[in-house]
Amino acid sequence: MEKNQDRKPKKLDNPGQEGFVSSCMIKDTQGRYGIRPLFITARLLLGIVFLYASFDKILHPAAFADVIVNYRILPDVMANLTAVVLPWLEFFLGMALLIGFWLPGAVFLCNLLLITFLGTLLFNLARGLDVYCGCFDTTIRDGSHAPMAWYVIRDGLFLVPGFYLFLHTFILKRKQDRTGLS
Amino acid sequence: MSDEPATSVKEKETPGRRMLWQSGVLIVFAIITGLLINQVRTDGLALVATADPDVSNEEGAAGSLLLTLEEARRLFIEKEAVFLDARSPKYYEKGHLAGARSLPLEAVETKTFEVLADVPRDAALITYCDGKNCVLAKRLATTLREMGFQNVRVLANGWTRWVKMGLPTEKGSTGNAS
Repeated sequence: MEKNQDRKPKKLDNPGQEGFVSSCMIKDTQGRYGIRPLFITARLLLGIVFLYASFDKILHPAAFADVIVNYRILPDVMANLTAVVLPWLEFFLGMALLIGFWLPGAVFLCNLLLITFLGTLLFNLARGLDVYCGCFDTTIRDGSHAPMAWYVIRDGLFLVPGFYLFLHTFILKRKQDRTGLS
Repeated sequence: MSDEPATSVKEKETPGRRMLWQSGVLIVFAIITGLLINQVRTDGLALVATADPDVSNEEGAAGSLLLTLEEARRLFIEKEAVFLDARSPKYYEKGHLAGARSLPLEAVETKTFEVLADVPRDAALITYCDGKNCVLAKRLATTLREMGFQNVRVLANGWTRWVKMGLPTEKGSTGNAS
């Protein structure tokens, strides 16, 4: 039996694997990639964000429904249903990311939600609607809240680990499959 | 030579295909869990709207802070009430009920007596903002009551409903607290 003496991952040196993405990838002689620390960090970060975001909304669905109405995106008749379902979706996505379970589906939905939240914020910012972001706290303030631009920047930053996870889960994985490494 | 076992059908499943069914199942889990929890909790939400979304259920009820649009309209025509816009000056200037005075909630502590200098304590005051769930008008009304103005009512979702009914409005900073 061949003994694996090289436990340290080494730089990928296959031809055709040049480029920024490939230079971040390292693999060992077993074909395993060595970028897990970053991947795991992004997973944990986004997982905690989604779990934290879900708690207040699960505890106070009526207040969250008010926030949804104030965004003036969905019809009012859909506000209650959304307020009941969306927090639990965030909860399950957060758990999936933390545990590392069903990652393709979780990563896809996380990015979809983040893009949707950011899009609605930008849309309301563009049309001048002064709406308090109900992302982590469903208490509707009296106007003495942070500028909406702050929430746009914050949600935009959340997309960084989101896109990274998406890249790692779908695009890098595809490259891995193409090179026959699995 | 590789010692890897032969890949099964499941292992050959692409991330894209996994993404689709996993996303679907997660969404279904969320729907089922959300609906079940909503059903058993005491503060569950009504999932089917049965009332006019612009109108609150409390409106016009005995002892309620809220008054109906018809009542507000009557008081407006007969000039028996002072209307107070609880929104920020930016929205007040874009449009407000004709003759309404601007008294943003954030300025209630500093501007009330200036805005209402000529208004007796027992005068009828009607606060409004925009959106059925806007809390600015209710909070303004509550604060005014604490300050000694006893006859304060709220026109819920006042701006939208007033405009919908084609009632008089105006723009600019007329009546604005400077």
